[in-house]
Amino acid sequence: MARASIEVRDLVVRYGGVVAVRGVTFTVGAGEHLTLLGPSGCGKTTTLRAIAGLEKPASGEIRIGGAPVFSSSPAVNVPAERRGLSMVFQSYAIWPHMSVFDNVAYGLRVRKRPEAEVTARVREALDLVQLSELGARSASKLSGGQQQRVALARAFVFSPSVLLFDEPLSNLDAKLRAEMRVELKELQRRLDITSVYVTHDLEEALAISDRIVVMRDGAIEQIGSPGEIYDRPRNTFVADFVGSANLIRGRRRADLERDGLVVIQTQGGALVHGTASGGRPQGDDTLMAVRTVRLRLERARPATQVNVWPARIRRRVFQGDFTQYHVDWDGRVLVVRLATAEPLVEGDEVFVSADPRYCVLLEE
Amino acid sequence: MLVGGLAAVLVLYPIAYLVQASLSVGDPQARPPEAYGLDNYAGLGRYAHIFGNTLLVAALATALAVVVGFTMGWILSRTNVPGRAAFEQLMALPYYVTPLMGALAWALIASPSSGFVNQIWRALGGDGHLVDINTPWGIAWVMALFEGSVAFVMIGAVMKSMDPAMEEASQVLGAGRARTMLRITLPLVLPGVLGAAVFVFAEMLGSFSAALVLGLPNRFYVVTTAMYQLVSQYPPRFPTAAAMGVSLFAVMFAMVWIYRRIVSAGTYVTITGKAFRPRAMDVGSLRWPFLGVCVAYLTVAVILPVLTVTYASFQHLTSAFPRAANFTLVNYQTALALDAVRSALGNSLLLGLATASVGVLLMGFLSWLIYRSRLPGAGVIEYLVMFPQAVPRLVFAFGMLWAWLIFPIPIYGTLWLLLIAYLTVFLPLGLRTISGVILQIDRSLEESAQMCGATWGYRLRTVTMPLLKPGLIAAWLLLFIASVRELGASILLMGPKAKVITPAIVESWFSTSTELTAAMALLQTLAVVAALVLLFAVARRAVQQGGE
Repeated sequence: MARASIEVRDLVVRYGGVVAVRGVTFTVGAGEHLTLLGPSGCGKTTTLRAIAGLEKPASGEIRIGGAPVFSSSPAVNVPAERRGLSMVFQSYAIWPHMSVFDNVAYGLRVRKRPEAEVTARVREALDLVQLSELGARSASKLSGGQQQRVALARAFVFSPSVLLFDEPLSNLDAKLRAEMRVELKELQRRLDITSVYVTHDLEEALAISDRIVVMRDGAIEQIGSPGEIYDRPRNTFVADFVGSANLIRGRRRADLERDGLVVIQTQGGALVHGTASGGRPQGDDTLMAVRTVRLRLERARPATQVNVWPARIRRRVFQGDFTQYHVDWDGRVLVVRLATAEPLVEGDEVFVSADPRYCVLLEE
Repeated sequence: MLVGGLAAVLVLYPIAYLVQASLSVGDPQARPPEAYGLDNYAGLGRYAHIFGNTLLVAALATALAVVVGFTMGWILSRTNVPGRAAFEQLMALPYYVTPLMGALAWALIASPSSGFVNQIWRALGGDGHLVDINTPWGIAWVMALFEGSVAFVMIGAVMKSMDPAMEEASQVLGAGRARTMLRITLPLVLPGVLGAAVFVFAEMLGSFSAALVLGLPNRFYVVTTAMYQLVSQYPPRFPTAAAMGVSLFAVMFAMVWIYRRIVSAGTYVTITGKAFRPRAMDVGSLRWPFLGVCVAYLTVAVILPVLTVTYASFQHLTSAFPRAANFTLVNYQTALALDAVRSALGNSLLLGLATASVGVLLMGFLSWLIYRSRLPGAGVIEYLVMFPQAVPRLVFAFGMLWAWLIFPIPIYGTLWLLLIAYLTVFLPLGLRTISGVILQIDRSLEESAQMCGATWGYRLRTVTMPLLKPGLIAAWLLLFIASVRELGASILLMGPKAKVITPAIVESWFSTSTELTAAMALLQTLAVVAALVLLFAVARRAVQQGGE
């Protein structure tokens, strides 16, 4: 199976007068699993469709395996069917007038493989998605999860060089989605194929990607590994979108900075030590983000030097997997999520602390 | 692009000639016109009463049709009347009976001198006549019976698309059933009802056959029949007829425009794109009167007309009182022996086949072009091909009469001209049927085939066409049936050597016997049914053999 790299450079896509994608540049290494993450309307699906060849960009360049498949100058536009890619659609796009077998066999028959090979490979693919016994069934009589598996098998059976996924799990219910996420990851590793995945679901993106591209309004906000995206957001948008974070506003105190840490002072006077993710903003007024799960609450004062503050439990919300505490701190409320069932009750005086590694100075 | 251009020529060429003819003020027979002016429009003042007649009949018929459509729509989509599903299917029947058949039947039932009702009235000692179908009321009655099923489809769709939760919310908040109906249901469906009314009114303005059959005996004219008279008299008065046609067309165009405005602006809350299971209201013992209403409508619109025409076709001299000696098969023998009828019927079936087959190809391609290709200018093409919707077929045919008369290839008076005419006037019908199916097919079904590496032709053969098949078959059938029974365009365009059946039936009604006409009308219907049965049998065999 040939693994191909993808290069996207200065990609611009317009719909009539609307610019859906405005100058996006990124690369996907051979065998890498990249995810485009962002809210609806951010241009992630349009970018994916441009790579697929289903959308004609206004300008820019797309290369697959080094060869240009789209370029505005010199003008190149390889039609989708000749790009050697494959795609799983959000709606699954299972053809209702064919059997499960015929759906999966389609790509092989297009490539005029001998029927014996078609049968063998479709069987193998259906085995891999655990639908071996459903081959003869009409595709219109499948559940959502089964359709999803057929769509998967159909997409990889003919050994494409790249697999594209357009929100493939968004039509499944929560439980099935969590299951399929794991299966999908396993399948990806087994097929050992380059993939580009589009989703608006953070957990999905964190679970299955090697790298994540966060997009907003047709532009890239941040590119990084799942860990980087989660713990070191570059700006408020990423911090906010990628999951629950406390944003702390304060003035830079460069005079107090040591050991590569940055320090800000809140209006209430608290000093917060943290790290800068990218470029450091010059202005006095700055923002720091710290994830709700990275904060700790203790009755006794912990033995760390910095980032320990007294606080008071205002509200406690039990949510099963974790307990969410709203604590009064520095004239405002911080949200803290703890997995352990700490015996803390509303009104308790506690110490809240944070590792400076997880307090991230934002660029904007 | 070529097909789009072809459609534009088909539609715009005749309209241009219609307008040109209406501005001709020199010798009325001169082609091209000797001088241009607005005299023909100024002269329309003399025909003010005809415009008045048209408005009167259209308004009466619309009011009646909307009442029928609303009542039936409400009963069949919102109450638990027995046999709901079956009735909903049966509501399509009036469309297949056609206004012409209805007009013939109701003339037999209720004409002042020999109508069955009046015969019985006199036999019972009554004086003169009880009912008279040859009046504006009679014409409106017949037209409304058939347009009622159109109104039903439109209003029923609105009622079905209404979220029942809106009514339930009103009830939960304490409003009674009557208050809910008045304050919630009615305002919500009102835009839809209004839209249906405007649409039906526009159709009525351009309707022809009922007004011709029932109005002519009393010299009661509406615009379309007056135009027909002006063109077919000697000497024909083309420019005046053209001015009339353009005026009518302008009014109808305005109506269709208003309709589109209402539909796009007014149905704000009811249509959410979500599928609801419409809640059937338990109306208790009122179910039976409602059932009676449904049966009554189908009786006067379908059963009675068909039975009447059938009965008359087997009579020597039609009478309300059957006598054994009066029954005969001679009408059928005459009809089948007449060369004119046989060739007209043959021509019609041939034209139906050609129109349906060429039409499905042409309109299928146009639908794909408009709704799928993302071609710049697709919206313009859509407007163009839907244009014939706003033009009465007779008016359109009049434009074609002039347009193709001077066409370098001599097609005037041949079946070719009729084929072109049918393909043009049925563009909206075919396009709506096929595009309905195209729009239901998610674009990603084709795209995923593309992503599997299939080329354009391969995708078309393996994915697009199989998915479109039901829609294409439905469009074919509709086009076939509509073509075989076309009157408004055919009556002006058919040549003496290439007659078709529907105008022949009308001619026979005015010049030969009622009974023979009834036989011809039934023969036409039977021929359509037989052709369809045959085609289905052949198609099924072909499919089975192909599958083996």
